[in-house]
Amino acid sequence: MSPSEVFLKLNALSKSFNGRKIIDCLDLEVYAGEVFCILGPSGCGKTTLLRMIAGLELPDQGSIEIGGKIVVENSRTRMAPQNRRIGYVFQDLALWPHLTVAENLEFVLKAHGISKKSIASSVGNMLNLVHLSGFDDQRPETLSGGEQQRLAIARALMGNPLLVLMDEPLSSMDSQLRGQLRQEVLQWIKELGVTAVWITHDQNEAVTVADRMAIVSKGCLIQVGSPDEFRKRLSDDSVRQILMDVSSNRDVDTNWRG
Amino acid sequence: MRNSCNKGRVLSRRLWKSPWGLVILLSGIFLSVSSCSRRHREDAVVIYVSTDRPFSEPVLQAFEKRAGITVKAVYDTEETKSTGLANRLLAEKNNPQSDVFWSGESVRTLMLKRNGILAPYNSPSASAIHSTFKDPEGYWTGFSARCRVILYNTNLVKKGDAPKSVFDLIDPKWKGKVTISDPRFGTMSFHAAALFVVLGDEKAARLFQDLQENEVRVSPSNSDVRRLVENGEMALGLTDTDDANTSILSGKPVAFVYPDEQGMGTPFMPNMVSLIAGGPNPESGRKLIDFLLSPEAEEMLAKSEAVQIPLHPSVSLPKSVRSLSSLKPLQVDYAQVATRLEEVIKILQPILGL
Amino acid sequence: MALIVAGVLFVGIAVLPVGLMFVESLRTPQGVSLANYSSLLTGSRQRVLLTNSFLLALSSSTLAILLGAPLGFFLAKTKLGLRPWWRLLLMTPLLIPPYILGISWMFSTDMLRLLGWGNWAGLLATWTFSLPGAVVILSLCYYPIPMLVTEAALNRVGVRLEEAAWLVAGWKRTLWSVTLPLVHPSVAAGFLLVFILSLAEFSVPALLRVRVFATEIYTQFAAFYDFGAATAAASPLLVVILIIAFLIRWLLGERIVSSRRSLNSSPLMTPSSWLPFGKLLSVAVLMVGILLPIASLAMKVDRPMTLWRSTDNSTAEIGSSLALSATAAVLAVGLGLFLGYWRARTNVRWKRVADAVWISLFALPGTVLGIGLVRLWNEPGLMSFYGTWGIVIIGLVARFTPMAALLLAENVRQLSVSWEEAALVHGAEWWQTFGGIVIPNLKKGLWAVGFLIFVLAFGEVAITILLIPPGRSTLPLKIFATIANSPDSVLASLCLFQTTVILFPLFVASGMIFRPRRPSAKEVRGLCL
Repeated sequence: MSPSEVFLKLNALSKSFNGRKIIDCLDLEVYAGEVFCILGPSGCGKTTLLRMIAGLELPDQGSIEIGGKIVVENSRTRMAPQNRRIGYVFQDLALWPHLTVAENLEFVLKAHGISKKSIASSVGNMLNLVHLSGFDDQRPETLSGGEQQRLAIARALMGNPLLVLMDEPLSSMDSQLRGQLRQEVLQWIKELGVTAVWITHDQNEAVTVADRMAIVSKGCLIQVGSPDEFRKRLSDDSVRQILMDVSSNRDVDTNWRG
Repeated sequence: MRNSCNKGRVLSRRLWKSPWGLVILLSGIFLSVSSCSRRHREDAVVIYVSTDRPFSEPVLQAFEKRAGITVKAVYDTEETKSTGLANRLLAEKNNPQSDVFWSGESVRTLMLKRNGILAPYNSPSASAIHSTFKDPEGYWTGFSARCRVILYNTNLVKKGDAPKSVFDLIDPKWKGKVTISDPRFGTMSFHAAALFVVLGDEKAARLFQDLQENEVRVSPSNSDVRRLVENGEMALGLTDTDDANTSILSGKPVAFVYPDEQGMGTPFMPNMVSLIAGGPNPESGRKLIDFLLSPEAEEMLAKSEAVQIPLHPSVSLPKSVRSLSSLKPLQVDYAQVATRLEEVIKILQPILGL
Repeated sequence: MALIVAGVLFVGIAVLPVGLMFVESLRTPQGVSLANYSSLLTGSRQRVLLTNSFLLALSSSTLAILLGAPLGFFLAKTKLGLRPWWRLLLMTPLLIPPYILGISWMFSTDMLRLLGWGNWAGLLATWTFSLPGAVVILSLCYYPIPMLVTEAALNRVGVRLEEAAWLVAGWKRTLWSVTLPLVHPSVAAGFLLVFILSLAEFSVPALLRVRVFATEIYTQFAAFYDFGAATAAASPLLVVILIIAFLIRWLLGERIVSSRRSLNSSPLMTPSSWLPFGKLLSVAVLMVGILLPIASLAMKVDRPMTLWRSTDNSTAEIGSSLALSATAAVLAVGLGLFLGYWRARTNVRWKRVADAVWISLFALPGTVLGIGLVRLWNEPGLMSFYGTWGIVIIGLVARFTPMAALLLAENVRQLSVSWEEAALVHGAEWWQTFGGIVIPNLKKGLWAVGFLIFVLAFGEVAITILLIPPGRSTLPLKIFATIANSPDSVLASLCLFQTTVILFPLFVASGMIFRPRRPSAKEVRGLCL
C-alpha cells in the first residue's frame, strides 16, 4: 500500500447522546500504514469516535469507509464490527478474565477462523514480541498493570488486523515506563505494517509516535497535520494555548479552527 | 464458513466436557424415552382419583389384575388443598383426557355435573345401593361412605360426657375446647352446607354464630383437627371416620361418637364415581365403574384403614366398622347441598372471620 | 436472532397461557366487563387480607435480610475455614419446601414437651399459629437468598476500591462507606425476591391459619371453581408486588457494580476477633432453622419401619421427579439466560415492561398458569404431546423461566460490556461471544440459578397436578396424595424423606462445584480447546 492511499475515511460524521452533540460533522482521512494520533481532553468525543469506527456505536449521520468499503452510512451498518478486521485496545483493557494470557490471544485467531496449527505459533510469536512469553498460562488479573497493557495491545495486533484502534493505550502507566513502551508499541505497529488510530491526551506522546495528528475538541477536528507542523506552530501562541489546554484537560475553544 | 463450523465444534466439545453437557444429555434421554413410551397403545382406562391414594390404589390394582386393563391414575386429595383434579377436569372440558372421576366427597362431583363434565351411566353393580346415594339421572353413584364424627380426647372428656350432637358443641363447658376444620374446604364444607340445607339458613347460621362465640378453633384441615385432639390441645373436634380411625389405630387417647344419632342423623359422605363425558375409553371406563361399585371393592375399602361404610347391605364387615343399617344417615339431597355450598361459604366467612 | 427465538418461545409457553386466563377473567356472563375486578375492591374482607399479606411479606423479607445479610457478610469477609461447607449448611433451609418446615414447627411443640419444657411448648403452640409465627418460619426459609446474594455482591466489589478507601479511612469506615453502599443494590434485589416469595406463599399461612390474600386466591379456585374470578383475585397481589419492585428500582436505579476479579489479592477482611460472632450467629440460625425442625420430624418417626415403608415403591417417582426438575432447570436457565441477557443489554424503551411481566408471571399462582396451559395445549391435534412429560416440563419451564431471567439479568449486569465488545471487534460472531465470553463468566450464576430452580421445581405441586400424564406421579404429588389422613409418623417420615431427596443431590453437586478451584493450566486449556 502506498503511503498516500486513504485507508480510513470519515465523512461528515455526527453523533449525539441524549440531545448532546458528541461528534459534530467530523471529516477525517487516515492514510494506509500511518500512525494517526488524536489528541484531545477527556470527554471531547475521542472514544465515541473510535467506537463508531469499530462499529460499537452507530453514527447519527455521515459515513465511514475502511479500505475503500463503506462500513456504515447514515446510521445503517453495511459491515458488521466482527468483519471489519480491526484491533482495538480498550481504555479499561477489557481482557477476558476467564481466559489465560495465551487464550486471550487464541480467542481472536479462532474467531477469525485460523487453523489450529498456526494458532500456536502465532500466539507464541506475539507473546515473544510483547515480552510476555512465559506468562501463557496465567490469568490476566495476575499480571502487573504494564503487562496487562502489553497483553491488550498484543490482542489488538493478533490476526493481522487492517486497522488498530487504541484508546489511550498507555494511560495508566508511570511516565518512565510509558516512554519505553511507547517506543515499543510504535515499533510493533510498524513491524506489522498496520494502520493505527491512537488516542491520547498527552501531547508528548502524540508528537513522538504520530505520523500525522489531529486535535479534537467539542466533537470537532480543529487541527490536522504532522507533528513537525505542530512543533513549528508551537511558537504560535494560540496553538500553544490549545496544547496547554489539552494537556490540562480543559476543553479547547472551538472558535479557533485551523 | 469453515470458520464457523470449526468454532461450532469447539463450542460443542467444550459443552460436553462441562457438567452442563451431562445434564443436557440426561435430560434429552429422559425426554425422548418419556415421549416414546407414550406410543404404546394398549387397553387402558384413565381415572382421576381424589380419594386418598393409600386407600384407592389397592382397589385400582385389584381391578387391573381382574380385568386386564391398565389403569392410569392421577391421584390427588382435596384435603391437601391442591384441588387440582376438579380444576383439571374443568380445564380439559373441550378435550377430556379422563374416563372416570372417583371423588372422596360429593360437592365437587356435583359441581362437575353442573358444568357438563359428566356423562350418565347407571351401573348394574349399583342396583342394591339405596337411591339416596344415587343420582336419579345417573350422573354419579355413591359407594363406601365416610361419616362426620365428633372426635374427643379420652384424657380430657369422660365417655359419658362426650357430646351426642353438634348442638352440644356450643355448650359453654366446651368453650375454647372445640375445633373444626375450615368449612370452605373438604368434608367440613359438605357438613356445613348440609346443616344449612337440613336446618334452614337461620338456624344453621345461628349454630355457627354460637360456635364462634364458644371460641371454636378453625383448623386448616381434618388432619389438623385430629392432631389437636390427639395432643390434648383441644378436647373435641369434628372430623371424618377415617381420620378418627387412623388416630385410634396409632394408639392415641381418642374416641369418637356419631353425632345426632338420636336427632336429625349423622352426615354420610359416600365416595362418588362418575363417567366423564367424551372420555377416551368409555367402555373400559364403564367396566371400572362397575368394579368400584361392586361389593368386593366396598369390602376392600371397609377393611382398609379408611374404614368406609359399605352401601351394599351384603358386604361382610370388620369389627371396627358399623353397618349402614345400624346408623341413622342424615337425610339430605346431595345435589342441593352442592348447589348451596357457595352461598353457605359466603355466609360463613364473616361469621367465623375467615 | 437467538434472542428473538427465546423471546418468542417464552411468549408461547408462559405469556400466552396467562394471557388466556386474563381474557377469561374479563369475560363474565354479562359479556366483557371488569366485574371480576371491581368486586375485589369493594369488600373490606379483601382489604384486611391484603394488609395481612403485605405485613407478612414485609416482615418476613425484613427479618430474612436481618438474618441473611450478616451471614453473607460473615461468609464473605471473615477468615473462615471450610467456607463452602458453612455456606452449604446455611443455605439448606432454602431447599426444604416451606410447608415441610411449617409442619415440623407444628411438631416442635411436642418435642419441647418431650424434653420436659412444657411451658415453652405451650408458649410456642399459641405463638406458632399467628402472623409472627408465619413470619419467623418464612424468614427462616428464605434468609439464604439475601445471604447468598450479599456474599456474592461483597465478593464482587473490587478489592482496589476497598483498598483505596482503606488507606485513608481504616477498615471499619471502608466497610461502612464503600463496601456496603456498593452491595446494597444486590441486597435490595434479595429483599424483593423474598418479598415476592412470601407474598405468594400459600402453604405456610394455610398451615398456620394466617389469613392472607394468597389463600383467598386459592379459595376462588378450590371452593368456587370460577377461573375468571380466581385469576382476577390474583391481581391485587400483583399490584402490590409491582409497586414494591418499581419502588426498589426507582430508589436504586440500575446500578452496575462491576469490577475486575482478583485472585491473588484477598478481599478486605474483618479482624479475626469477629469470627466467633459470625460462627455464633450461624450456629444459632442453624439450630433454629435446621436442627429443630429436623429433630422434630425425626422424633415423630416412632418406628424406623414407617420411614422405610413410606419410601418403599417410590423409586419411579423419585426418578421422574429428579429428571423432571433437572430438565426444567436446564431449560429454564437456558431460556432465562437469553432473556436475562437481552434485558441487561438492551436499550429498548419498554425494557421495564419485561421486568413487570417477569415479576408478575413469577408471583402469579401456579394454578393460573397451569389451567391456562391446559386450555392452550389440550387439543386433539397435540395429543401425542399433551399426554406426556413434555407438557409438565413446559409448565415448569414456564413457571420458573421468569425467575431465571430476573436473576440472570442481574448477573449479566455485573459483566463488563467491554469484554463482549472486545470479542466482537476482534472478529467473534455474536454466538461466539455469547458462548466464549458471556457464558463462561456467568458460570457460577448459571449453576446457582439452575440449582435454585431445580429445587423449586422439585417441590412444585400446583402445576404438576394439572399437567401430569395419567398413570405417572412425582414424589411431592405422591406425598401430597398420601399425607392427608396419615398418622403423624407417616407424615413426618415422608417430610424427612423428601428433605433427604432434595438435600442429597445438593451435597453431591456441591462436592462437584466446591472442589478446590484453580484447576491446573493444562486443564483450563483442555476445557477451552
